[in-house]
Amino acid sequence: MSMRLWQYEVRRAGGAALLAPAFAAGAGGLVIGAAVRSGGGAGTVSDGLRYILEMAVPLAVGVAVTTLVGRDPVVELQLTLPVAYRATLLRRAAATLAGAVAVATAVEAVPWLGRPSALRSARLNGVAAGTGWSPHGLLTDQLVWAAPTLAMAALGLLVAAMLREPAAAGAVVAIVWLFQELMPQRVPGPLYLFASTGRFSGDWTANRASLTVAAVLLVAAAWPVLGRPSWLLSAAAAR
Amino acid sequence: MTHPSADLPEFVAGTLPGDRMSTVERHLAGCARCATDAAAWGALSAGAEPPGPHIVVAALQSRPTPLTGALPRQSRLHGFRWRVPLPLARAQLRLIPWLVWVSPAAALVLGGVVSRHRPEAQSLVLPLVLALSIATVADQDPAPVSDVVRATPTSPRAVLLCRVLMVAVFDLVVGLPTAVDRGGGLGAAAVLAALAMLTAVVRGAETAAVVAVVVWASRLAADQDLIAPHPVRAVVVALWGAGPWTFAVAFGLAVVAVAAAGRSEPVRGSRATTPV
Repeated sequence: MSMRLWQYEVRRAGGAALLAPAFAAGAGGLVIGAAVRSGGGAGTVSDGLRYILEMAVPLAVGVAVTTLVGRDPVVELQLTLPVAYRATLLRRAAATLAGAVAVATAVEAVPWLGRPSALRSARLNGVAAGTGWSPHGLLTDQLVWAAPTLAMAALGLLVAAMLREPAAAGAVVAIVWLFQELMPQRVPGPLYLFASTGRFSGDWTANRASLTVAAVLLVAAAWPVLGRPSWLLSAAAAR
Repeated sequence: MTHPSADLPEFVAGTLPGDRMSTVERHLAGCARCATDAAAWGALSAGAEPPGPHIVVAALQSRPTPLTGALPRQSRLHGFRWRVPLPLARAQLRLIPWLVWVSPAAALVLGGVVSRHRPEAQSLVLPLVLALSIATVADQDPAPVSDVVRATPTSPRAVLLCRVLMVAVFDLVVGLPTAVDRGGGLGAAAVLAALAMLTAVVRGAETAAVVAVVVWASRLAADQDLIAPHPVRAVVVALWGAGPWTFAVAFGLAVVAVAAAGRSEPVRGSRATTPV
């Protein structure tokens, strides 16, 4: 697969999808900055970074993925291409996720770039009271953001494929996110997105694993719909 | 006897060929009826001025006579300005996707249900739902309709205002009654909706949706216990509250959005296959 094709798909994914995680992280950074100025210490920064990773980035990616579906205006041309539209959409979703990986890596690097000793120890000891998270190791800890991000991206893909209206699909994703934030007691433990920042008494690792499986299942559910380009593109033509 | 009726106008004007001129002249000497017709043509031509630039000038300087009751259908045009919004709204209702009505309604009903357990829920759902709805209808580049809209005499700004107002009224009617903090919910909804409207006009619906969701989430984060009472937080809360500054900012954003509507070409770099 040529680099030119990926460059093309990255361009077609659009700035909104690619920059959404960075925008969310930047907004979260402003909040953390305000928190630090209001007297918060290293623990505040550590908690805030985890909020960004587990809450802001997944929400931004989930909404960003909904903007990918059905935005190709020249339906007739798209339908004549030998490449399946499903592959095109999955490439653009992968590009969006790549942007999230870059942002998450940058956020994770903050404790080692700022005041290393204080922040690193804050990270290592940053077990928020009542949450299910505790440091497991560098790779395993990537699941703090990777699992909910994958789940939200898959949810966004499925909802966007079914509704074919980016704003409506984005509303569904955001409402699911808000419901988990407001009513965590009503959310089944394995599907709880905020096990590292919210109150969670279950097994953190099992939660991350089940979220990843849920992402796979959601993509599998979206698979047949993504295989019908005429369905996905007809809404854009009608608009 | 054959009367030269068809030649009489040219005979009077003096433009008839010589042989036919003398024939008509001989006929008129013996035919009283044709002589009367020729006199009538002569009287008619004497009152008409030859065409020239002065006729155009006189027409431009003259004031049209006001229409009277003889043409009642046209006289009703005096109320035309007030009758434009209704047909415009009816036409736009057909163009707005049904999901823009159903999806917010479902979300707001869910928000109302959750509000029974968490009273602040609807005040959080309403701004987001309103902003995303407006992001959808305020997009100025819904190909291929945008080309047609720009070709019609109706201003794109009028179309934008019509679509936004219809959606806003619908969402507020559905969502506001179940919001506990109606003032705060209304203020936040106004700011976020105006921001989404401006972003949708300038950068499209997709960007507006992302911006609205992220800004809305930032507002949520600012409300968490993460930030202690601080001037920054006070400014954020005041901006999203129900005070005059909130509505002033929202109004300003909406005015800029309306001013920006219809100023750009339909094909923009963000949607083009290759950058324009």
